[in-house]
Amino acid sequence: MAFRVLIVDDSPVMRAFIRRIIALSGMEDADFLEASDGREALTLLREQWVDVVLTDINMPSMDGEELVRCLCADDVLKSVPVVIVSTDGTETRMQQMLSLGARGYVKKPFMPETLREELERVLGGAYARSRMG
Amino acid sequence: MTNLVVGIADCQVSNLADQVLVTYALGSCIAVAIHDPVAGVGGMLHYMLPESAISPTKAGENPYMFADTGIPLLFRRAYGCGAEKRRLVVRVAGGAQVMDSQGVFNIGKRNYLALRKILWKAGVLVQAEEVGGNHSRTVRLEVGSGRFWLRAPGSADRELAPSAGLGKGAHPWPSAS
Amino acid sequence: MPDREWDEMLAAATSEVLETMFFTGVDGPARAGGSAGVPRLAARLGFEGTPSGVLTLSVSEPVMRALAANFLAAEEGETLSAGQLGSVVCELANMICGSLLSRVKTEEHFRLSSPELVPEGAPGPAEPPSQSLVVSDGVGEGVVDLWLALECRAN
Repeated sequence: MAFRVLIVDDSPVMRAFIRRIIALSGMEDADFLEASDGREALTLLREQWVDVVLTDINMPSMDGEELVRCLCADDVLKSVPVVIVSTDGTETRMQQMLSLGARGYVKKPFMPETLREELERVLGGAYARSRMG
Repeated sequence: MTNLVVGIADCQVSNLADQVLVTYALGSCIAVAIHDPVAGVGGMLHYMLPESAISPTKAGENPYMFADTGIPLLFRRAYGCGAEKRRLVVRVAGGAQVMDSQGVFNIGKRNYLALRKILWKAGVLVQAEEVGGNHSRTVRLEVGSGRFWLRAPGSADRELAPSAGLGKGAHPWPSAS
Repeated sequence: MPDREWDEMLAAATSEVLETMFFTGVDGPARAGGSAGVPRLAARLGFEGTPSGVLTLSVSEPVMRALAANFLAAEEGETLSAGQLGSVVCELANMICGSLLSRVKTEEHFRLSSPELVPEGAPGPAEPPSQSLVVSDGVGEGVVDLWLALECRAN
């Protein structure tokens, strides 16, 4: 079964940027789902399993912080790894999101390789196995 | 192992396991080293300037002088020896902030930005790099093993492993403003 | 915090974003009126915190097309839609604002609004830009203007 990635960001071009990086990291056969805010993301996550969520923080309707809180409060969804991809690069915000349950954090702007490395760190074996097809 | 020297504005590609591609005294220039561990192909480009548009005549005489003409050629030559894009391990070194002959400080950074743009558009990610700073570097790529070594003046050789990554440090060049 | 410090942070944030995700260098300050007569694309977003404010970004269109092509990994000669260009301008403004605010020494979180395109022909801010920077992609160059309007801006 293909590796499934959910990208949550209110910018369609940022979602495309992230999608390209993941595809270039050996995951060109991954299934990509996209949402423009936390509310859309939650709806998708309640309908289908994903292997990882990458989410921005500042988004309309439901932000990334609220999304992480909702996921971690759900007995099933709390096991889905979440990586924050946000312009908020402060140490306090990063520590806050990690303590809420996010497993990784990438600050915008970022080099493509930085996102790849963070995904490899967070997903470890699962990511490597999926990349081997 | 025998050395195959990559000169300034030069490119070499090899599929001979006992060869080592080596280039010396990378200041603001950049070395791009690529290796396909399955095909056993290694290539190295040493370029000086970012964009060939500033001198199309020179680019015609020597495409390896510029990032935008040299990098695609490096990859094409490697493909010609059996390398495949998705298997290539890419490492980068150089781009130091040194004063060039025109007294321009930022050519190292410009060379690096040109490289990043070209690789991103071509769909290639870098496995490891060491760029910036203000010292020259000598680098070598072992074609047989794919190992990549760096040397700075006064220092011992260091290996830049594919897993070394890019790190999360600050930019190695001071900003323009 | 003095205005000068904000302006320096703004220049540093702009450099960081353009170099990291748009592969484009900032060459330094632009001379006044350097981009007059060139069509421009602009985006604006607000932020809440201490202080609150608005960031406006304006970029000459040829440069913005080159920046967008870099960001989107567009092929040489590929035409980008107005929607794509607008989306990239907005994301550029968003990232510069975020990078700027991340440099402010505070325990507080800033809240950023969604960036909006400034309609073509709409009057820009009356005051001179906080930063006016020359950017080049190696082939051509253009100007990025940024206005940072802070509530209760310190002297």
